[in-house]
Amino acid sequence: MSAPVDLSVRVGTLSLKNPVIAASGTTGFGREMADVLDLSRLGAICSKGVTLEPRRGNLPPRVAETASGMLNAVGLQNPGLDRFLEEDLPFLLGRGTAVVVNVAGNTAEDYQELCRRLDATGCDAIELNLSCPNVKEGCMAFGSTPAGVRALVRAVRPLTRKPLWVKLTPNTGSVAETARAAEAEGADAVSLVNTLLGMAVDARTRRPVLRNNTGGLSGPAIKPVALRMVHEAFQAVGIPVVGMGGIMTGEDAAEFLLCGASAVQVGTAGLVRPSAFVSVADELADFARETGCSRIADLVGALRPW
Amino acid sequence: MRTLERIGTVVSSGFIAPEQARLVVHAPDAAAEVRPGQFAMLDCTPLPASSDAAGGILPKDAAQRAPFLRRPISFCDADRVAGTVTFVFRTSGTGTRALSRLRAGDRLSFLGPLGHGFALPETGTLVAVGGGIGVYPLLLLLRDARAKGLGTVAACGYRSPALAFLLDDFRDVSDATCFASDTGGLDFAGHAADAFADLLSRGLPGPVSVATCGPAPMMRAVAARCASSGIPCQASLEERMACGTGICLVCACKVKAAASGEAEYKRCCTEGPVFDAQEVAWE
Repeated sequence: MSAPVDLSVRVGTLSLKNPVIAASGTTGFGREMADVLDLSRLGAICSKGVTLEPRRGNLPPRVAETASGMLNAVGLQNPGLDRFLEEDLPFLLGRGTAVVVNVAGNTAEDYQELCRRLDATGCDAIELNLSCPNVKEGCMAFGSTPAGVRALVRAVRPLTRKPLWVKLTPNTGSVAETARAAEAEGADAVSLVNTLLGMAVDARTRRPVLRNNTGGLSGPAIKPVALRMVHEAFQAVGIPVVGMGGIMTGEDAAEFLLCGASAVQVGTAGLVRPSAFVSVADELADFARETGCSRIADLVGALRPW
Repeated sequence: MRTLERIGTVVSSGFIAPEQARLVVHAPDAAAEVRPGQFAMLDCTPLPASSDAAGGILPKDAAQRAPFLRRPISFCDADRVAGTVTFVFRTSGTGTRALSRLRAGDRLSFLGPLGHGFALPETGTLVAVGGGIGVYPLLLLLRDARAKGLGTVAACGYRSPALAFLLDDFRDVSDATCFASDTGGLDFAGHAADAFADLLSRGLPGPVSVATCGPAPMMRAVAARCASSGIPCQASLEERMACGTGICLVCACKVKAAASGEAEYKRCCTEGPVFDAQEVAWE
């Protein structure tokens, strides 16, 4: 029996028991997964995107399979902040893991109100969704330019003492620039990447498969792009980077840590294999043991570029 | 903690009609647990015979999944004594074609049983109205209804006699059957909904309740006929899915809220696939 591996990591001031976080939108508000998965084994759980008002989401079809991944266009369907605070957040807070609340809005005022009200709760961090590609207003409209990120983070930063993570979109000219903009306005971390804007076409009907025409691509198909962007962001900023994009295995997670991620998020993998949220952490521990690494945090940014 | 990911062993496989594949899978826990109208998310990625990994995916192979997503397939039948479940499905794409290539002895990873299935009435006659591949989940429904002592009637519609399947299976579990074909040549010339209306007009031992699965226009017609006669009707809907477990929210079905009557999206995988037909906002 070899020595145990220390899986704990820090994202700024927040300590996590392991680096694997369930990504926003892939475990709902925890309830659906609680009876099939021991949520206390997660490093953290990131909530489905919460908006001020309830949202019905986009017309179906909302999903299309792709080579090594999928496109979704859910459109931020959620019950709204009031019901989230009343019913869902208390449930999440009792699960023995850190809780990150992902928030989305149409306007800077929406994000301000969301942050103000979440500041008074027991959540461990707020993740600003500046990157959902499936809604007409807000989100990616802010996140796709450094000026948009700057304005939004500046608007909300004074309203909360909670760690503020800014979830960045890959659909931008330079993720280094948007990451720098977030850091300059006082973000505590950046998380990336959200989905890549894509399209699926049914040639026989001459229609896009998704009713929304476009959707967000996720899964192993985007991992190379995500790794490159995490690496760029890590080099560009001093605040922690939370990495994600197509992680299916512990070794995938190790690749993100090496590129500079302090923690990782697992999303789409859990849709095909619900146990992935915990098996990725188990496999990461196996990987560390096999490669003679006793502290997983030692992998962060340890890539040796040519 | 509930088990979602299961591995079964294929007992037999084959085609029952052109493009209609049948898999019989030894999975005693699922066979014991399944209720009519439920479904499973089948993994189309071949599973190494020696692997006992939960979920059936070896870590190193996980990123090479093709096709990537699991496929939602309804339970067509279950043999609780033999510990087997039966899936029958149309081979319409790469995933279902891969599933149809499984052979006896192969292992199959699946999530399930999943979803809200059909509720069996307490007494009377249950009429199952199915169209095309929609007939599949109705077989287990009628089997369980008969085991409960209910009267059972099957009204199944097909495009043509050559594309009619499971007729003997439905005869085995039904007091009466009416097989319809668009082109004639079976019991009834026309759609399943018309065959159902014909059955009703000739009278059935009451109280009558209805379960339907198939193309939306057919289910809508069945639901309308039931509404006008005050007959309870359950409808099994279909929508593209990713997770099948209620977390990803892609399988939105339009259903009227009980309180307000206003249409809202519900998850086909979790609140459905079976809904009260009068609540469905038929498009």
